[in-house]
Amino acid sequence: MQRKNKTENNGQIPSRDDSLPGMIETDPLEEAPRRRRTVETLLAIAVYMAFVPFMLYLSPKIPEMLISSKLPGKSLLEAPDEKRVKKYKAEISALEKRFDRFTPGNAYLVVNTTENKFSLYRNRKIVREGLCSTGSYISLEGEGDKKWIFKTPRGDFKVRGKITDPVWRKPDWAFVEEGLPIPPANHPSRYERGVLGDYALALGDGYLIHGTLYQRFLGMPVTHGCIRMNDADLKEVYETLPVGAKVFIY
Amino acid sequence: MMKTQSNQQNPKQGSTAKTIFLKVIPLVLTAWLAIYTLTMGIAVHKQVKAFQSQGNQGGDTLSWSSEEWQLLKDKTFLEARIALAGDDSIAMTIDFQDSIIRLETKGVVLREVKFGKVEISRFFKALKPLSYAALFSKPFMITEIEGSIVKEPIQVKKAPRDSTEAAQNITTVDTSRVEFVEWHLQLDSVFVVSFVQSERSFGQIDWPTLKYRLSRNYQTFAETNRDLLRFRLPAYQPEVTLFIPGKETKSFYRALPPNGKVALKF
Repeated sequence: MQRKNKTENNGQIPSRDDSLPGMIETDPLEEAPRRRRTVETLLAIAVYMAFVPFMLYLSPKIPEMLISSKLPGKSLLEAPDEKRVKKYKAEISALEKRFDRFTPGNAYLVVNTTENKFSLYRNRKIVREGLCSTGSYISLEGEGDKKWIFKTPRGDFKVRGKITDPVWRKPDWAFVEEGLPIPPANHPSRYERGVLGDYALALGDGYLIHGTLYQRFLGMPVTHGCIRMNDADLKEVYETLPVGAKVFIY
Repeated sequence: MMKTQSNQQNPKQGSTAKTIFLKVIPLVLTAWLAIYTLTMGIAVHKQVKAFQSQGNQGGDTLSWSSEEWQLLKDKTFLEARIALAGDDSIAMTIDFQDSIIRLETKGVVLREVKFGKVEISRFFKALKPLSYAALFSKPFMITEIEGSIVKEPIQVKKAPRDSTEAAQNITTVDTSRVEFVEWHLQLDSVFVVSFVQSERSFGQIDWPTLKYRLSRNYQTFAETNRDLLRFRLPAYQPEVTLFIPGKETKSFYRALPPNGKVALKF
């Protein structure tokens, strides 16, 4: 609809109210700028929406695309240098022999504290696997600065001693944990029989591999740092590992 | 009259705000994205060149057959493993050729796992033989290790006052909790090796894993932008991602010490 001529309105700019009722009014002079503004708005929204995902997720992919995929193999010779091949083979053989010597030829034990499993090796082959219990990762806070963390240490250890019918000498935390007063060092209440099973292997620093009354907890991290096994597994481990045998804990 | 003037001022303010939000800021962001892409390209090119020049100052003028290349890789890997055996701590070796990942200590293999899916950066395939040997014949030191699960799941427990309280406070192990395991290692602040639990339905995720991923991405985002603002080239760290079963990936994560070592074979 055309605007009314100015002069027809006595020099005044006609208002929208002058349009006839029911008629849709569009001004072609305003349409192009409106379209441009819409496009600009949409572009701006697209940039805002794309920026953060780009920086967080797509930008790490850019370096990959920029690396040439040309492999060094494309310039490889077909015929090898026999002298060099022979030299490398000899060196590799020597290195393999050297590396091989690190693995004990006699029996050793590997304990996984995350899955609470053990593997017993003899002559570099697994002879027995099973569940065990290792440290609970509980940090017990007593009075004052007294604090104990019950975890099984990781690393390589040696069997320092083997004991049959072991007696548990209860440390201070065993009393603190039960809400009992700590007795003197050699008090009879410190000694408890029958709770460590039939055998124990000492790893040093008070850590043992021993049996347990709580066989239903095997496979779970429930101990105070020691490694607990069921009776049958413990017997085999005890009979297989000599004093000085390696125990690897991870 | 006053109303007409304020009406005239408001449209002007409105159009200034519109110009800023619809034109200025998007233009700045777009320029930033372009600068980022350009500088990243330069950084990658520079890093690749730096690695190619290692062990190769005179240029790799030797020609290699595929057999020699393979023997060199085998030798390099063995040298790195023997170097690891000299350390007391638990270490990791990853053989991408045989798809085996191992935990080792003093040369003894504690755990060995075969992996299937792996995503390797093209960077590692672009290395020349002598550069490869110079880089991978020694183990890498772990400079960062982080994951979606805690490394040591320590629970703090207060000592009970008496035996009655002790009987009431028996700690139980929660075996029903499901954890999704993802973690990564940064090696010598140069490479990144990521581990993702392989058995997981698409889209299945928990809050700690999401938090870990967001934190990682945000850290990269922040470090990159900080470098750009200081007119420095952003760091490029080639990455490898391995997909291994949850139990194994959890064991490996918890076993590795924070300053442990890793040997790689591509």
